Amino acid sequence: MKKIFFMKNGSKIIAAALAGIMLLSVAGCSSNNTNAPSPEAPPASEAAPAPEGAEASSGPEAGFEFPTEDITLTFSWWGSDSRHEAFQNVIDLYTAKHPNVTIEPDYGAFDSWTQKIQTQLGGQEEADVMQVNYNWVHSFGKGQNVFADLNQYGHIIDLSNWPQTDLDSMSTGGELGAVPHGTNARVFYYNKPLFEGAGIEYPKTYAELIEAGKVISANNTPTGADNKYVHINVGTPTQNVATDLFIAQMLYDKTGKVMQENGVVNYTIEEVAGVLNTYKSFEDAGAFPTYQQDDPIQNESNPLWTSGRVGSVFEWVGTMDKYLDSYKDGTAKDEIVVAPYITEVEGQEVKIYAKPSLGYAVSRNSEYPEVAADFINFMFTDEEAILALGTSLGVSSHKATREVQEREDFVKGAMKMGYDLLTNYELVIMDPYFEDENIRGQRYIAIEEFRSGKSDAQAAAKIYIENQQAELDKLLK
Amino acid sequence: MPTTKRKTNLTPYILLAPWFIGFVVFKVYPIISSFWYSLTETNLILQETTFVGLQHYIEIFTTDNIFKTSFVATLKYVLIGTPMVMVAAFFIAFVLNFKLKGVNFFRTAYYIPSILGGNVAVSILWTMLFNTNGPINIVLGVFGIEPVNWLTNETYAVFVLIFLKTWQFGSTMLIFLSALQNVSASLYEAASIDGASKARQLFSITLPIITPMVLFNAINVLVKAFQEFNSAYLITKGGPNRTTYFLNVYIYDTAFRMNNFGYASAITWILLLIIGVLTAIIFSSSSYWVYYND
Repeated sequence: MKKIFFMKNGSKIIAAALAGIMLLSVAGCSSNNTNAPSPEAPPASEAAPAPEGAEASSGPEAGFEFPTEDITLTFSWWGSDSRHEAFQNVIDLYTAKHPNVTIEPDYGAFDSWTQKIQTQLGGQEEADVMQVNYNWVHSFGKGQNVFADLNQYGHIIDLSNWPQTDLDSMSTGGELGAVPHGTNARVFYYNKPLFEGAGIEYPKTYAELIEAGKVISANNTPTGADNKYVHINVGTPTQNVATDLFIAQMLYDKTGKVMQENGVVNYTIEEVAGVLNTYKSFEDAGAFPTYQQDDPIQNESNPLWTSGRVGSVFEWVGTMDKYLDSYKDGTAKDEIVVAPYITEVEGQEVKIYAKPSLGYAVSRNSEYPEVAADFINFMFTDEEAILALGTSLGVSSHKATREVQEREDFVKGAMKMGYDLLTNYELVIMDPYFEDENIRGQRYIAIEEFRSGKSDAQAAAKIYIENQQAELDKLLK
Repeated sequence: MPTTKRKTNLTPYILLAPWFIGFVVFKVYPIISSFWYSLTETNLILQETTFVGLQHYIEIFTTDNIFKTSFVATLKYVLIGTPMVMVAAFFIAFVLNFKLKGVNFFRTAYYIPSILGGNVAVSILWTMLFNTNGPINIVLGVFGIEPVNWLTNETYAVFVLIFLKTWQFGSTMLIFLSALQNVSASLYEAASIDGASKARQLFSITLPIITPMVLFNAINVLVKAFQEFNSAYLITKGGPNRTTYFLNVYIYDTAFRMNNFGYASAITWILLLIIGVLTAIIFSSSSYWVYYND
């Protein structure tokens, strides 16, 4: 299990360290890309020569001969409208700098995107550059890398910009499958007016969560249109990612053990059953909607969230912007704040599950892998590109990108609060197969059966562990 | 005796070639290759294929509880949905066969849902309609019926999808309508003279004469019901608790989400066999209830 540390008060230290490393990275990445210029940075043309072993990163001066013939690349990604617009702008910037390059976009919502990419990979029809999810790097090839090994393009993409832990998490079978954008973790985002209106504090413990439920949901009816809840875990009944992660985090907090270790599910039936029963007590108290009360719209457009009738969501810090945009039509973003993780005991030291937020991979079948790598490098190092991307992808762990994001004060409001909050915790990168569709699919089944009343806690816990283990065994055999 | 050399006329073969090539490439080849896949462990991404014989079939029938759940859900949908579509389509076709004012408008109006199909917009519409606080519950509330979360209720969720299928009876209705219009008016005149009531005319003249079309529609609707995918995938996502997890959704998930094409192909072949057997049963029974004018 790989760990990265955002120790208490570590943000200043990290910022100082980043600033120092930044200077090195400016030297490391040269050429006509700005390479995260700071106000003090010399013009690109005057930048210090690349240190030994680190070639220039883009354009004709880059560490490869940039082709002069007409080139067409494809670039696929998923995301919300803000991301689509941002990537389109980046494509325009890149093709303006390289008029002989055409980049054809292929984008959509995340729903079914994994299936699409798997099918494309199966048919060797994937895009040259792909936005990829953390688990794809590991699960698609069952431990073998199915993308181009980006270590081979270190002369184009300066890999020293990333913490080694980030690169390790995107590596499989000894190859670097993708470079990550940043680190992502789920954070509790609170609807301030709802709590103020109810005259209660944000819950810090499970007991307080239950008490808050009794207050906020006092006037709820079994299926009422105006029901209010302390919290919702957004996700469909059959694929409830938020509930899965919420319960996984509860299990981690309770046992101090991660979900899977060395191919073995780490929990006992009693441990899982205990957590499931605690989760049920939140629903029973009206803090969470029950299975029967779940709204069919299970994304950022969930009416409970958009209308401000729910006190909190548990969402990825890196993509919180879409929830901020949908909350009251984006007109009240300052009403959303963050608060510490809810734990069983107040002040309990907890470790938080995290993962690379997303990454970029190059197709093994790409005709122009170096140009594809150059485009990836461009997104991380060209100032205009970084500005165009804004925070549509969250905060980057790439030194140069992060420096521009901080200098331009991109990360603010609830998203900044979320990232700042994470510096108080130890983040633990989840197991590579934590999000494997076959494996987490078994957890979804157990959770749904339990929430719907089809199985009791013991039976659901048995499914949770045994089915997950069976899938894990299949994958690792 | 003079010999005449027979000329081979290639025109019909050339005209048939585009269809035939398409049929072989897009139907025959996938069907055969899917059977091969069903005997293998196939990872398309890694381009790895391992022959496993009948292992997938054995697993499906012995240890795969999801298949059993999925099969039951599919069967429920088919056995309830097919008669409902047939009855609704025949009833509306029967009414629209009368010379009513604005009948052409109604024929078009009733056909429109079929054109819409099971697309995303329709699925959103259906989700809204059957939302806990949606119009269906509001109307039921007028009669004092407590609102139900239709889409998360294990009993009702499948009926929401059956209702959607029934609503899209347009194509079946049109076939019934064309059959009804081919029933000779002289038969009704004769029956009226003999004093047969309208109900008697329906059961003794209309229905027997259109039984070939009933057979055609029954098989058509049944096969399509077994292949249902969109509504379950888009509206209920196979839930709650897999009560709408139809075989086609299971096949899709297994192949494209779980990346297990071999196993998915095996389920596909079982589905093909189920459809084939049921179709054969209906066909063989047709000699007892289908009347041809020959």
